[in-house]
Amino acid sequence: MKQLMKISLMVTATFAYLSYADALETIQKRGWVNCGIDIDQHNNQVNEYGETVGFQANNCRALAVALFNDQYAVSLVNLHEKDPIAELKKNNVDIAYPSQHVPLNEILSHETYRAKMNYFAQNESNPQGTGPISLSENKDLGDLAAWVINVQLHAEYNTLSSQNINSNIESSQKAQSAFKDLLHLASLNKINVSYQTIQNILSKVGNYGEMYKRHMGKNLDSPLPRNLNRMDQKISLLTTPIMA
Amino acid sequence: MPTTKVAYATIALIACLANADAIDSIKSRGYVKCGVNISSPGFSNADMQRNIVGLEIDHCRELALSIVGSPNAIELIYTNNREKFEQLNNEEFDVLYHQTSNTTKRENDHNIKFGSPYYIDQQKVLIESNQSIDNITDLQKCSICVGSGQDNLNLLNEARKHHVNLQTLQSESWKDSIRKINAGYCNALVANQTSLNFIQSKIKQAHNYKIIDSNLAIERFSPAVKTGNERLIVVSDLIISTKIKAEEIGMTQSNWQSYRQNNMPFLNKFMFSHNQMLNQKYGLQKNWQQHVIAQFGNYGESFDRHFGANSTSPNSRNLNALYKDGGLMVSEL
Repeated sequence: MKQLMKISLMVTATFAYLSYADALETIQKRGWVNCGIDIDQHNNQVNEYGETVGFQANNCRALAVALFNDQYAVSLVNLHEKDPIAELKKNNVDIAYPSQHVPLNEILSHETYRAKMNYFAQNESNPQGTGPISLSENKDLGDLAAWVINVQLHAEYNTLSSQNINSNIESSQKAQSAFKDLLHLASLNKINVSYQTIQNILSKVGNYGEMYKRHMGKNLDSPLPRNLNRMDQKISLLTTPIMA
Repeated sequence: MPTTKVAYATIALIACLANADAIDSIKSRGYVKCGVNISSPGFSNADMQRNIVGLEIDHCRELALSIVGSPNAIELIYTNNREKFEQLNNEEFDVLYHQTSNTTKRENDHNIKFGSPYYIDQQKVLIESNQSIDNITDLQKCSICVGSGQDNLNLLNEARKHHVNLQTLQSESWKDSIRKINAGYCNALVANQTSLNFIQSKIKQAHNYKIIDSNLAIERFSPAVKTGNERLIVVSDLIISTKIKAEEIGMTQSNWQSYRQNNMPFLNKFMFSHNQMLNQKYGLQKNWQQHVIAQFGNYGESFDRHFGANSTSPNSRNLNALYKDGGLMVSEL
């Protein structure tokens, strides 16, 4: 009987471990990340080449670069008029970058997780933030998404961009001093990334400012000013952990 | 077979106990233990009746109200800058409210987690007005006192950036800062603006001093818990966001009941309907949001009580204003 009990406990523990631990591993094995975004006239759109472009689409691509060094290793799932939390629960997406604010109490009530907000929209008179949401059990993926955002913000803060990031990033003193702490933070959170990951993200997707300009800013017919999403030297809603 | 059941039950109990966190401890103990300062006007300080009051004490009471059901179910444990993180790690208190800036370095170094800020300040420099110092570059060869609990890294980074050579001298408390300035040990004092305003009011011939218009850093004072007690920090975040949201929509201590009838779907869902799942998961009392606003008011009301014109530490809202009013206070709700 004792033997049977031991075996059943081990089996239970193994299942519990496997079902909890491996969201990132499942995505890695699959070879792409399922990323939920709003594809509509106000947010992300399909361009003349059939490519989905937009701020949140770019967030997904930056995450795909961190995971696969390939900005196209992503399946962009349209969440327009859908509940992002419900789509996460149904496993239709691994992570969602909603364009609309999801209140903290909603996120907490549904066992989901938002590690960081990376865009603030002015709603009536108060700002409402949005950021990547994952299932709580896939916290590792949420933390990686937040880390990618921090890399892009920190690059802008340190005037590093797709235009000047050194292909040999490890020999660049400026990049070393800008990202050393972020990499340390990643290692503490058991996020498997390196200087090369940072170089890949910046060269393929750009820093936060480049991404904003491309999809929200001066490149558009009716650009949205940075306002709430500006990167002042010290006073801003957007912060990176190292700046704080 | 009964033996097996007992074994399973024991294992379940051990697993449950092993996962017990600060909220479980608070509930079984019946009160919240908060690590606080005792000499920080506005934040945590003795009033005329020798009661410890302040914005940080209110937050501690709000946690107790939300988790235990009474704002008086608290124990205040006095701590200092040298020992606060060690005491938090030793679980001498559940949560630290000690004007501690939220930085990742501190989280990593001390195995702690910060929550959303309850007060945002700027690190600035106080100098004698007769000195021709207008910004950081004029501090060449000066001796600078660094206020209690303040990090001198921002100052040293700025100094290095501008090739300024200066010396720093750490103060033990605001009284120590005043003593050192009055005794002429330092030409300037670096601290958060709220402390500098208070210290300036206590220095002999205060009019001889001024705060220069340089911002060394933003200080986001946030509650901290030991890693593993993140549920408690989530509750703190919910309370702070609730108070900010209440101010955003004009809900106050005196009018909150009138909002019950208003046609605001989000508000009805969050404030006036019982979210059993959320409350159960985070050990919250029924209708905790209403009780917090009814007993402590919105964020602006709390701020005015402790930093308003009639308080012991008058300060303008500055960065603690709502975003629409030029500040950085944003609700996550």
